[in-house]
Amino acid sequence: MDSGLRTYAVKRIGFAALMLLGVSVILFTIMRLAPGGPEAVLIGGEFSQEAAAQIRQRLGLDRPLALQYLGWAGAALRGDLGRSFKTGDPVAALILDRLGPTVQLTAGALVLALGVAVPLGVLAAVRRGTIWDTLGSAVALFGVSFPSFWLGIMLILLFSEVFHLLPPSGLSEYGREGELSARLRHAVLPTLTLGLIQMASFMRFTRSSLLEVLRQDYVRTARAKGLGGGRVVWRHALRNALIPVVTVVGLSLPTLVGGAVLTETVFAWPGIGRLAVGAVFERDYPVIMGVNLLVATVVVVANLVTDLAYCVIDPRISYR
Amino acid sequence: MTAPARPERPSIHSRASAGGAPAPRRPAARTTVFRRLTRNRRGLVGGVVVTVMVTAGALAPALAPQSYSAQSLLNRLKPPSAAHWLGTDGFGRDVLSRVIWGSRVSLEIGLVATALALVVGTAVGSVAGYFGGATDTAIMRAADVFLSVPALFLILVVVALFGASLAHTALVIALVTWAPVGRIVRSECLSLRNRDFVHAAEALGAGHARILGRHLLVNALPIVIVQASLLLGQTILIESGLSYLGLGAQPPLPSWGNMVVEGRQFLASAWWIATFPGLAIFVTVLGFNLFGDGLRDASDPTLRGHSP
Repeated sequence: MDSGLRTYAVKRIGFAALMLLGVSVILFTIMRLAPGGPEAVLIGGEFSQEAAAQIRQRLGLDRPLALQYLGWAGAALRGDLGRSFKTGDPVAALILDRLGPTVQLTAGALVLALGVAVPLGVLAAVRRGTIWDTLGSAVALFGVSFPSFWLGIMLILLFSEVFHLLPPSGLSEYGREGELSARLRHAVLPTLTLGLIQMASFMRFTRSSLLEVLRQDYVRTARAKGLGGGRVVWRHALRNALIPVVTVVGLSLPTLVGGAVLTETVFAWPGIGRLAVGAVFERDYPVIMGVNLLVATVVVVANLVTDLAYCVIDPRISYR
Repeated sequence: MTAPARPERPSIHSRASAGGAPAPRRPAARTTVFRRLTRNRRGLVGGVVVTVMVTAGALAPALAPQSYSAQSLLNRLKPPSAAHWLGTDGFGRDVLSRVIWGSRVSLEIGLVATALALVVGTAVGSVAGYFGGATDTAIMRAADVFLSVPALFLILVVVALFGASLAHTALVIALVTWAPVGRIVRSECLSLRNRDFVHAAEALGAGHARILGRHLLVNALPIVIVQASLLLGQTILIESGLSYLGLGAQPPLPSWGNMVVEGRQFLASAWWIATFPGLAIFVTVLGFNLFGDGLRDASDPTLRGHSP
């Protein structure tokens, strides 16, 4: 690794840390500035000022904002995300419990999206102007226009209500211990929903990136050498065309995780997204902070890795 | 520190990758754009869809056959018929009327949020692109922070804690959508800034404000307009998602998102309640996307067929 790249990597990692700091400060401030607090939800119904003050004191909400933040950040750095206001469970344990289903859902959707988008993008680029190209455009256009929750409900209508092929909603508690086939059947519709939405941008990118690469001199050289069309496309062109696609996959993580919130709600999928939605409604500050910090970390790290991978894969990129 | 060139979102990238900026436009050029747009079939279809939806929303009191809240318990869950074209919901309310009224919430929030995001994104992006250096770095890093937070999470937190008024929703949607606009305007201004006509203006003694306003922004305008159309589709999608989570317009005020939620419970017996409002979202967003793509092709023929 040469020194230029090392300096760039160090700078980039430092910036990633700063970014997480920024995100956590912004979120913390927004939450504490919001009118009303968790006491109303915790007590429920009518309550006296004293009772509220007592609860605020117990939760440590009476201290100055900066102190609260420092306390939270210090503990978070040691891996302690605090305890849920509502249940008293450690936030880290709550998150860990919900992590599996969300990872399964998003990873499945990502694989499905790439598995369809890349071949379709290649076909659309190579057979430009044919039915494949039109099909590709349609997928891309529809994918960015579908409201994901509605797409999910329409899939339930079709596959569960009309054809009775698949279960309409998720993975309840018993399902998680259930046998593999039952779990897979529950996963089909949510994965399909999230994957179809995500397909659009991957397919657009594969197509336009491959079109760009196919115009390059080395592709013409490969063809002139007498290599077959398929070999030129798959071995020579696609490899280079996929570099920007890798970046887009990294950049699409926020959308993917955001989409998971809605998809999980539609299918009653016991993941991080539903945990976040519930925590927001109950003003469970530690859980909100924990989930958001986790998601932001995943996104920031993914972007970091993509950027660094990009530098290593493609020697033409300058890192100063 | 120069980050490696990152491709931006699809619609953005395909434009930016073409490199060349459009030449300064004169009225004649504008008519050509309009003529090209009318010849572009997809753009035309998008334009018609958008016009129909906006008109329906604006004329809702006159167009809707019934009030959005008129209940008739004798007419609960009736399938589509001559009397109720799109059927009735669980309270016996006319679904067609509610879809027409519901377009108001979606379009109002979409328009306000898009306008805000465009103003902020254009201002910030043009300043970053024109001045460059430390200003550019600082602004674009701040934009990166906003691009890294999953938008829906941030919106969820703000709307749930501060309350779901139309103004709040529009404001926070703008907060998470200005950054991509800023990036595009910046890259456009970066390439425009070294063109001869800008140097000429500088040589003639024009100040920063004049160069930015009269030369850069005017020439970046076509790309901003294209973005406006695509962004409108996006903001409508975000708003409907919030409504679906119960954080948008509150019942009985209909929004397409909360109508889909209400229909979810009757899915087995009355499919039409959830289907039609969702279809309205899909068609409207599709319309804005088609129109935006059409506008882009029309304003820059070099890109025709380049992006899907």
